[in-house]
Amino acid sequence: MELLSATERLSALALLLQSLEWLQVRGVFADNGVWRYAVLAPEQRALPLGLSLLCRLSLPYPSFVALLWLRCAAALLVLFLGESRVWPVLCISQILLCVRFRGASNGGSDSMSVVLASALSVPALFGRTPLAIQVALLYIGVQVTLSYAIAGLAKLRQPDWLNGEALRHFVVSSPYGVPARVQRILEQRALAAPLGWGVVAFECLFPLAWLDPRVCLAWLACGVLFHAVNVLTLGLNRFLWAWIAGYPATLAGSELVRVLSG
Amino acid sequence: MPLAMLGTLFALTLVLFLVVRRPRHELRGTSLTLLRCVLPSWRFFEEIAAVPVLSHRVIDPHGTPGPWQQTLALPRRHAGMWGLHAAGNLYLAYQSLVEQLAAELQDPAEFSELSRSVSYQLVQALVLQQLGRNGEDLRGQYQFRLIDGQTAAPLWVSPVHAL
Repeated sequence: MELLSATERLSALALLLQSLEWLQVRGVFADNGVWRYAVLAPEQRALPLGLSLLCRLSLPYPSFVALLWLRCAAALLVLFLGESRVWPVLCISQILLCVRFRGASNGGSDSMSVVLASALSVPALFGRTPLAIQVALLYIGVQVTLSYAIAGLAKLRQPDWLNGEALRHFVVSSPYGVPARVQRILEQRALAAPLGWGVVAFECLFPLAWLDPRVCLAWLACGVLFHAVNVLTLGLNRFLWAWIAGYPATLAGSELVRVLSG
Repeated sequence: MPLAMLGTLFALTLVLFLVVRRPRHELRGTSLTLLRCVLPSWRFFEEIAAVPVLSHRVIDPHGTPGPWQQTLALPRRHAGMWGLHAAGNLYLAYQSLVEQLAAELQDPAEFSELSRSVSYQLVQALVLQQLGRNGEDLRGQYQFRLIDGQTAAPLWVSPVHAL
């Protein structure tokens, strides 16, 4: 139960921060903004009828800003009052937000937010029974593990990741604006190669976290460090909060495995 | 028991590796694309690919083109960006918009009706917003282009539009 509560509060924090960020730049959703609804609306007619109707109601400019405020209010209820019945609202609003950005605004962090909100909607909809809680936490834990393992295994196939070239490319030539000091460090091949290997090894070996809760805690600590470095170098703050929110669920998964294996 | 667990994890990872070895399939269909957040691929920063950079220029009423200017500017970083980094995430969302247009340009079916494409219209709105923000003399015409971020080689140039 404590791990569920921790997952809920951290997830709520992640969604709250995302919503506040969009509210800060809400002008881009206005009728004269870049993501003007009139341009986006025709595509949304291809969605299933119910969702398409929901989009028509909630995604035009003033309604969309109201939706963002509603998300903030719902996230605050979870964060400070532990009110978990709002998760289905947060889940639907997360999907609507992604549709507003034609699939995703921030890549993987949007997907992880959907994973968190949809899984946490299970106990909210079906009652906080041990089974519903286990299903929710296991689903999140498995998705967190898959996110690292798939990313790592996909990189393992690329020679550029193993000789450091890919890491140098993403740091030096990417659109993320990596600080010049970090760029200078990673321009050295002797350093980029082992760091590239380090990233691939951390991601590929993440499933080891399921071996034992102590191993899991060590791996999660590495994960926090990994995402903190990503914030500092690539500015990917949303990934930090969305993934950390899934860590208590991963720990719950490793505890369940320990119990099941006696 | 830990050995059995380790074996299971290894077997699962091997299966995953075989799955990941298969070529990546792009989602087809508008509905699936709009809902792609519910079907995560988790394949981040997989391979080196050219990053398209958007730039634009104004053509004065006499038909003389001005210099190309990079449309998107990197936002300033700050200590609070650990929590809220609205400008940074907006910049990344703009950049994915540009990448989406670049991807569509490689599809001949999409290319034939480019001016009606949603990506094209959104990028056009982005260019117009930047032109307005830069306080440029909004008379005459404008056009925009995509260049390779690494080599600066032009990838595509838009038709000329009236301001």
